[in-house]
Amino acid sequence: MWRLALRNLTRNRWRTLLTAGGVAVAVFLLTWTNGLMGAMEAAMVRGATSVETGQVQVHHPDWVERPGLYDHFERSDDLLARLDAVDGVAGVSARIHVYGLVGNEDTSQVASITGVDPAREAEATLAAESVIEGRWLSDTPADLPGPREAVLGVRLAELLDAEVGDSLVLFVNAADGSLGNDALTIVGLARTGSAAVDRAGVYMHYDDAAWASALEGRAHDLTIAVADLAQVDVVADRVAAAVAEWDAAQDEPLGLVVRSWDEILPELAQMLDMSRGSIWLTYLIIFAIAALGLINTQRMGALERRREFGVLLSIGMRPWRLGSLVLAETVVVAGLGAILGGIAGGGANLWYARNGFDMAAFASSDVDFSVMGIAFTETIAFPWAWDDVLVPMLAVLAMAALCGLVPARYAVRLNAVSAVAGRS
Amino acid sequence: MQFGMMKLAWRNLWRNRTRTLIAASAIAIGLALLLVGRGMQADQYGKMRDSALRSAGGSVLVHADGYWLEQTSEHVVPDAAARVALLEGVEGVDTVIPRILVNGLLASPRGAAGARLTGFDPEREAVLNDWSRFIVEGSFLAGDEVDPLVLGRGVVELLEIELGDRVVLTATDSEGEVTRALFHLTGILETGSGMLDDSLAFTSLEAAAEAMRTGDGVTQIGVVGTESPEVLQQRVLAALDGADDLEVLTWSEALPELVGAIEVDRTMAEIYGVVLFIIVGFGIANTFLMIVLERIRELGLLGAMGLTPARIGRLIMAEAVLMSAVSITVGVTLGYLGHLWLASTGIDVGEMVGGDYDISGIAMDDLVIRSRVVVSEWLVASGFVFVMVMLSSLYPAIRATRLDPATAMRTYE
Amino acid sequence: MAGSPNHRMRIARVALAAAVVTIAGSGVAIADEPEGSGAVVPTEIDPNNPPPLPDVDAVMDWFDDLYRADSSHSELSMHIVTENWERTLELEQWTRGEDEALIVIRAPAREAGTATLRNDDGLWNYAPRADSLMRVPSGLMGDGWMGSHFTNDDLMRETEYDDDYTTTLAWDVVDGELQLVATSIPTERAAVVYTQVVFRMRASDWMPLRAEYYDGDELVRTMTFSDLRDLGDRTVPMRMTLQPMDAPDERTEITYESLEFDARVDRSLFTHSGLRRAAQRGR
Repeated sequence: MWRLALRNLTRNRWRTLLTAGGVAVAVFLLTWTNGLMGAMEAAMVRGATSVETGQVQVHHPDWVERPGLYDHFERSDDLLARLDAVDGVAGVSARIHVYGLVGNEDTSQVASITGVDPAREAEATLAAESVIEGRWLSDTPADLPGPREAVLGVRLAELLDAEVGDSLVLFVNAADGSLGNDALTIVGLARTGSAAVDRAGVYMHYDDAAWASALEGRAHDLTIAVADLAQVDVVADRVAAAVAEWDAAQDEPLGLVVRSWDEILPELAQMLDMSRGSIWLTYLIIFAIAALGLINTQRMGALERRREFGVLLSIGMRPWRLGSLVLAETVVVAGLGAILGGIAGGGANLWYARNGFDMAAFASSDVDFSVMGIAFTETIAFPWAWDDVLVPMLAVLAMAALCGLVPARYAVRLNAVSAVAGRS
Repeated sequence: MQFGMMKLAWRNLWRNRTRTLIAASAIAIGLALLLVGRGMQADQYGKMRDSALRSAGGSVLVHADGYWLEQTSEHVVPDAAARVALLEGVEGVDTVIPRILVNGLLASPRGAAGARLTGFDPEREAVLNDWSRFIVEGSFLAGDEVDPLVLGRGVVELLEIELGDRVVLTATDSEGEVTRALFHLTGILETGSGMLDDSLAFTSLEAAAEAMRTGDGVTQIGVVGTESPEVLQQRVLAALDGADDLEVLTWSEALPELVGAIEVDRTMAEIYGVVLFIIVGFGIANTFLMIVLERIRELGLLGAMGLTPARIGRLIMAEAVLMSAVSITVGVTLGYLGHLWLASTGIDVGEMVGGDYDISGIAMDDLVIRSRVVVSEWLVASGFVFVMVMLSSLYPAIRATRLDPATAMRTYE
Repeated sequence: MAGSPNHRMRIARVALAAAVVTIAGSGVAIADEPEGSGAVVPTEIDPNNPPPLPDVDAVMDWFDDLYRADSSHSELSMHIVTENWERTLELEQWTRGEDEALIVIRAPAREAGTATLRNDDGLWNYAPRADSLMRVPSGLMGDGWMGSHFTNDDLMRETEYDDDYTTTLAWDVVDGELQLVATSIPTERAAVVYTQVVFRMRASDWMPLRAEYYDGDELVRTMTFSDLRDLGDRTVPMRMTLQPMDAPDERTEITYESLEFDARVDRSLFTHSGLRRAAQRGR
């Protein structure tokens, strides 16, 4: 029967091609939109997480409910090495966070100081890449005596009326109750896109910050970057296993908590859910229109072929056989279109996955826009997932099968005599 | 085209009702879906702009020159009452809201919290932001206390206080001196947004003015009106007669980061829009091309009956014009009905999300998807559909002119 | 029970003691104080038959004078206990007039050289490693000074002359001992967080025993005075312990090791260069 269906279709090439073309376009658009949305989501997640939280983080259990200066744990080289080795981890940075005051005799601003290992931080977050003036911290702390290196958020520097090369004074609330202080020299300014960092953030070398805040050998968090965003949950599980193993071997296990970004930033996860919800609406509309087109054309085709159907029926073909034949034709046409569309869409997605998609095409003005701190002036890479291609293909095929019932039904209920006679 | 041609076209369309209906429905429904889609996007965009505007404090903000960057109390707009009266007279202005903004410390016997205290006249402010609907205890500046203080639940918990308790504000006043002022907690707010509840602090304009010794001056004047912010800004500048000591900002100039978030959202919506256009256009083209292929015999018959090729072509175009005119009308009607339904009932996304939340600082407390009509967009969409129909009919029209009637009539399918 | 209408209360000059006084309120006179406030104080008191209450103004003037001097120089230690750590600071302090005060940390070595300066321009912290002053912004006034239970705000209150209290006196017997109790309630518009401050003194010589700070009926914190010492021209408590009621294991204890009133304190000390010299001088 399928061969019959195929032969029938080749008899009217134009109609077949047009119908298949319609389906192909629908599948292509669905696939391509999948890719684009996946890319934008990934960009948003990376942008929103890649500075402050990374994609996975390890904390003291008390930190989870309410982050506090005293919720620190051992900064263990052993643990860091184990996490480096976890499959899928792109970078691990151990950090401390303290509040303080930064400025000079004329002006002062409350600041949030993050003590980092500059080399590790560059792998685990985008902090080093967001330096727009000056440079990132050097791998080893500055020589003593002398001011400590610091990288400031751009807005903080603005508020302090300070530039690269200027000296500043730092006071921090140390973990032993004292007021730690030090002299700083600004080596770089960073525009991370995260308002919190840009307005009040100061990066310092871990050794300098830990000394000033009496937290030597301690950490408030381990921030981990994951190479492939789609794998975050899997990698988080592996990290949790490694952490648990290390923790259990300690004299006093703390019960360190490992969380992925969507647990740390539920608002971001919520927002993505919402935008995914609105995508579904678009998909639905694409589907509806494609379905409508398919029904239309198949029905029209059936109308035109009524005489032929009548002949077939009158020579003895069972109505249901005719019906299934018509249905088969629809499915084959749709299948053809789906494959074409799948190839085109998949090809496009693959190309964009390799070469990136330039968002500037959509920038209507030169507004440097950002959502939750990610600048959208860059090119984003499409994620490549078989799902993005296969799901639309199968969905459209399923839809086509349903649509094919319409002409099939028409064929089944045809009155052979009047059909042959030409009266509709 | 002659009237006769039109009549012929019309009869032609009706002769094959089913085919006509199929084509017409493709146009009408496609257009309706396009319009509804754009209506929803316009609503989302408008909502975000409204929220951002409310967060900023007005379409246009007037401060003492230099205030917005430094945010210290030294920058005061003098002679506020006169300025307010002046601005009220500006065309297109609905409400003028003078405010005093203080960055300082609120202290209680058991705790302290950094806060940004805002003093205003509650009736004026209610036009823009009606905070009183979030009151859970006490009142929203309703009484005539001389030192009222309304705080978000988060602040109240940090300070560990209850209604009636003393709260002391420490801040640097307009003369650069550290000053303290006493307040009593008179109201507690719960907005549902943790971020907001941790930071809201309101008092009356008079109490703030007294605490900060601003005299007849205020920190900020918010202007709310019906025109676009840019237009209002121009008018306000004109009314203030280029006062050098003041700065006049639109909300987007004041909070550029909010603008960024809104624009990204709009860009994504545009992408969807383009996708929809493509699919609808293609659907229409597809349908029409299909139709013309079916009509080859019929057209051949017309040729055999004596219609010149040119006339056949014109006939087809006439059919297209008529069909699109009717279908577009139906499509717009359907689209409008969809808009009406959305505008009144809407799709409640709030249950999915569970409570209010922020997008980059824009508190979205209205999570029902509704619809707004932007006439220009609807005209564009309809125009696009019309063009698609005409284009789709062009090919068959041209094909028809080259038809050899004899061959055509013999095409069986 | 004597009562008193609005009475302006002054606050003492010694920086940390000033915090105490702010918290405290009224004062006490010693019968043999040379300048004398003119008050007559009984030296022996029968608990069951108390003498008439002294004049409130007299009592308050007395306390004002207790720590008052044109200038002072002192060495003191501050012992802080919190739920996370415990530490002891050795401090050196100078005051001049009512506006200027300087405190320098001498020990532990890690913090030595850190200082806090009070002048009529505000409150400043000195960072020895940067040799620079930085203003303490109003947003940080609620923070504890160097981690103690005294806030930056407590130190700053020195310049506020407008705290208005209404004070009443009464007798009370605690553990068989007769105490003079001054209850101060802030007036209508006074910018003070406490609803009531109760100051307990020894009935015999009006020596401060205890200050209690209330929020409504609840006691929020107490300051206990002890270690009376005769400094020649006056006798003062040399140890003050501040205790928050919601964390009974925590406290901040100040013990004066030496305290010299009307010492020679040069105004140049309260400038940047003077401060630097004092901070780097070491013991």
